[in-house]
Amino acid sequence: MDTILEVKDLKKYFSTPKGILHAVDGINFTLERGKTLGVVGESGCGKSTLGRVILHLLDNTGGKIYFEGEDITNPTKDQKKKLRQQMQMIFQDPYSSINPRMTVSEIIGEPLKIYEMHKKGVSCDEEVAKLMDTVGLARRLYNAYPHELDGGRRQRIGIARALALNPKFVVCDEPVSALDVSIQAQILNLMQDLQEERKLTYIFITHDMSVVKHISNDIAVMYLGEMVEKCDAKELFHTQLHPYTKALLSAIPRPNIHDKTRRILLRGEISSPIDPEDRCRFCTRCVYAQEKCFQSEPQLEQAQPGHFVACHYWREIEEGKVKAQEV
Amino acid sequence: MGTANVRISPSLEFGAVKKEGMLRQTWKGLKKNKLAMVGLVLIILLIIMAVFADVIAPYGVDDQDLTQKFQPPSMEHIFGTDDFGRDVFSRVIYGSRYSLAIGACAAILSAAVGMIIGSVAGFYGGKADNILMRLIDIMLAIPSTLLGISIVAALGNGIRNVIIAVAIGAVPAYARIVRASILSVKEQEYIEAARSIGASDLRIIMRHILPNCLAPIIVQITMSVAKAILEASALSFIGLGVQPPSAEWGAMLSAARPYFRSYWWVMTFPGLAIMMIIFGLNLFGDGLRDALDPKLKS
Amino acid sequence: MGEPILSIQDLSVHFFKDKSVVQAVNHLNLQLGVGETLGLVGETGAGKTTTAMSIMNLIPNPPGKIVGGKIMFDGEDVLKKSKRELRKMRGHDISMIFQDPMTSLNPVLTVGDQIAEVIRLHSQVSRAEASIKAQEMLEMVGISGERYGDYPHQFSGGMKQRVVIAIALACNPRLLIADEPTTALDVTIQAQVLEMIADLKHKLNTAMILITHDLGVVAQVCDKVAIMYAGEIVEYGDLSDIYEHASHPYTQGLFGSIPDLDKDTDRLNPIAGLMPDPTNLPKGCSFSPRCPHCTEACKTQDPELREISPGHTVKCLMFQNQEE
Repeated sequence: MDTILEVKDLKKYFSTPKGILHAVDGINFTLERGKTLGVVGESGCGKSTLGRVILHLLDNTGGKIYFEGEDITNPTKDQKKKLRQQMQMIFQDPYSSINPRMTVSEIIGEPLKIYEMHKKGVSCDEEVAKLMDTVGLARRLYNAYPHELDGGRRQRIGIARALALNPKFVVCDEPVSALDVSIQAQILNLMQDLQEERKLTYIFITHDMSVVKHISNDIAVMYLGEMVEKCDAKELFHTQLHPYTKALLSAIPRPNIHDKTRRILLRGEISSPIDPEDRCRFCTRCVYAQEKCFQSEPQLEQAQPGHFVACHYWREIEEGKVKAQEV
Repeated sequence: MGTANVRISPSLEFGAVKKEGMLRQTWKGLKKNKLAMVGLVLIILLIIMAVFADVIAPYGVDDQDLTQKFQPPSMEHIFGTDDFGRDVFSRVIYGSRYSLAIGACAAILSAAVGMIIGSVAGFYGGKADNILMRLIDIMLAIPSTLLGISIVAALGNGIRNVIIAVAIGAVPAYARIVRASILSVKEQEYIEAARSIGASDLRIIMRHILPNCLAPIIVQITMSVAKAILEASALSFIGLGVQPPSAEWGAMLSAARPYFRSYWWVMTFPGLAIMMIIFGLNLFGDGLRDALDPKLKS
Repeated sequence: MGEPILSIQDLSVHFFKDKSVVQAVNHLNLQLGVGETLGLVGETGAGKTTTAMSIMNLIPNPPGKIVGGKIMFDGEDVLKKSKRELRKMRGHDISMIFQDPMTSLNPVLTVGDQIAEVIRLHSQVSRAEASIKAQEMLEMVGISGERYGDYPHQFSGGMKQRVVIAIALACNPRLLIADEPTTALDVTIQAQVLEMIADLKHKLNTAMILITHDLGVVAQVCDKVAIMYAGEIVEYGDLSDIYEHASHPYTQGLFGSIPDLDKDTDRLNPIAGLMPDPTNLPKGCSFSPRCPHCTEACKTQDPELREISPGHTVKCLMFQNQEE
C-alpha cells in the first residue's frame, strides 16, 4: 500500500470567550496515493478545519501528520515551503477565493513566480496558457478580470492555480457547492480527469452526499470534530452502522418520485463543540441512545474489514436488539 | 523544450479579452459624474495656476505700488489691490503654489505614515495592533487644530513645519481607514489561497491586501488634501505657519482682516480661492468614492 | 384544476442597465390551482426569483420593468393594483419566504413580536389577541410558545427559518412563495423543515410556489414542476411527467448532471457550455447553443410550448415538428 498521508490523533482547538472549541478532536486516517477521501458532515462539524490543519494553513493543537512517510506536524520554514508545492487547496467560494484586482494570468502565474518555476526553460506566459488549456479556460481570457467571469470559470481559475506547482495532494473544500448543477457536473468531471492524468490524491470536503459518493473512494463522516464512521464509498451507501450516518443519508431529498425511504428525522440540531463532555457527542439527537451513551465516549473501532464506526451499540442496532425510539 | 514549440502569444489571439485595469474602469465611472468633473476641472485649474504662475500673473507677487493702494477691482487690477498696492489677482495666483505644495506634501506624508501604521496593526493584529491603535486614539483625543498650533509653536514658523504639523494631524484617519479595510480584506478566502501557494507576508500585503483597500485610501487622500489646505490656511491666519508678506491665502486673509469693512476685495478673493479649491477637491473625492465602489458597478 | 388562484400570462420583465437590456423573464405563462404546489426549477439567472418578485409586484423600478403581460391573482391583475391594494395583498394574500433566514428577521425585535406585528397589520385584532395567535403560530412550526420573547440570535439557522415560515403563514395567505427556503440549511435540518412545510400545506390548503435548483427537494414536496431556462418555462408537467418522461433536452441535461445516489456512474453527463448572456440571448431557441440535438432550424426559429400529453408541455422544436 502506497500511503501518501497519515494523520494520527489530530486535534485543533480554538479558545473562545465561552471555552475551548474542539473543532477537530482526535482524527485518525491514512490515505493512499491516487485515491480520494470524501469528508462529509454538516456545517460546524470541523471538516474545513481538518483540511486547513493538514495543509498548515492553521496550526494544529496536537497529534501527528505524516506526508510520504515524513513527519510534517511541525515543519520548519524550508519544509513548509516545500510542502506548499506538494499540497494544495481548492477553495469553496469562487467569488471570494480569487483576488478581484488581478487578471486571470496573474492569478494562475503567481505560484509560478513565487517558486520561480518559469525560469527552468519555459516562459511563465506559456506555462500559464498551458494550465488554462488543462482546466478548460479559453486562452482569450488570459487578461480578463475575475468579475467578467461566471462562477464555473472562476472555479477553473482556482483549480489551475492549485495545479500550477504540480502538487501531489489537493484538499478540495466544497469546490462545487457554490455552482449550478450543470456547471457542477463539468467541474466534477474535470477534477476526475485531472486526478487520473496527474495521479492526484484528493481530500474532498463537502456536505453534498451525492457528490461525495460520486467522486470518493472512501468516505469519512464527521460529527462535532470527530470521525463517527469511515468506509468504502459504495459500502457506506449500502450499510451505515452509525445512527448519525443513517439519519444523514435518509435525509437527502432524492430526485426520484418513487423514493419511499423512510426518513429518520433527528431531534434538534448539532450541539455546541465547546468544552464537550465525556459522552457520545451525538447522544442528544440519537434515536437509539442508551444510558451508556451519556456516560462515556465511544471510540472508533473496526466493525468490518475497512469499515470503522464510533458507536457503543452499532452491533446491537444491526442485530435489532436496540430499537429506535419514536421522536 | 526546443524552439519548435509553437509560440502563441495568448493575449494576441482573436477575440481576446483586453486588460482593463482599475484606472480605466474608475475613469469610466468618473466621467459619468458631472459634479466630480467640475471638481476635477477646479483641481486642474489650481495646478495650472501654480505651475504657470509667472506667465499668468499680470504683476509680480511682491510688486508694490503705494500710489495704487486699495484700488477696487477694475480692468487693470481685476481683483483690486491691497494695502501695499499689490495686485490681489497675482497674489492669489502665486498663493496657489503654497496651497498645492502644502496640500500635496502633507497628504502624501500623512498617507505614508498612516498606511504603514494601519497595515502593521491590521495585518499582524494582537499586541502590535493594540499598542499602535491606542497611540492613534491618544492623537485623536487632541483636536487637530490645537495639535497643529502646538506643533508649529514648538517647531517654529515656516512652510516645512506647517506641512509636518498638518500631516501629523491627519495620520490617525489614515491609520484607522487602512486598518479597517485590511481587517475586512484579510478575512477573504483569496488571502488564504495566497498563503497556501506559499506567498510571503510582504507579497500578501503588497499584491493582495493593499490593492483591495486602495479605494478608500485614494478617497481619503483627496479629502485630506482639502483638509490640509484648509488647516494650513487657518494656521497662517492666526499668525502661525506661513508669514506675511508671503502670498499664502490664509496669510493674505489675516493681513487683510483690518481693512475688510472698507475694502472688501482684499479679503474676499483669497477666501473665495480657498473655498473653490476645497469645494473642488471634495466633489472629486465624492465622485471617486462612487466610481471606486465595486458595489455600484454594473 | 377548476379556477386557478394564480395565472400569469405572457409576462416579460426586463432590467435596463447603461446601454444593455437584461431580458430576465420572457413571455412566461403559468397557472396554479388552489392548494397546489409548484416547483419552479432552474439555475442561477434563469429568472426564477424575478418571476416571484413580479407576482408580488416588487420588481425594483428602475432598473427593472415589467414590459408586458398580466398576473391574475384571484381574478384581479396584480400589476394594475394601487400601492395601497398591493400593501394589503402582500403578507395577507401572498407571502414570501427568502433564502437566508439570518437576514430576514429583525435582530432587535423578539420573534413573537415580529409574528404578532404581521397579524396586527393585516387583521383587526387587539395586541393581546395577536400575541396569542403568534404563540399558536410558533407552536405550529414546532417551536415552543415559551420562546415568544426570545430574540433571533438565540435561535439556530433551522429554527430561524421556522420563525420566518411562521411569519409568512401568520395571516393564512392563499399563496406562499418560498425562494430556496432550505438551501442555507444542513441536510438533516432541511429534512425537518421540508417535512413541516409539506405538513402545513396540507393542513392550511395553501397554494405554494417553491423556487429551487434542487430536483430532490421538488420531488419531495411539489405536485407540479416548471423548468425554467433563460427567462422561459421550457417544460411543465406533474411530477411523473418531469421525473419519468423528461422531454426537453435541458431537463434531461439537468437530471444527467446530478450524481445518482442509487446507481454507480463513473462519469456525469453535464450540459455543455454556459448560461447565455441575458443581455444577448441567442436567436431561435435560447437553449440551442448548448443543446445536443440542435438542428439548423433551432438556431432561427423560437419554438412554442406544445402539449405532448395532457398537462405536460414542452418548448422544443423536436415536438413541434412531430405534430406538423
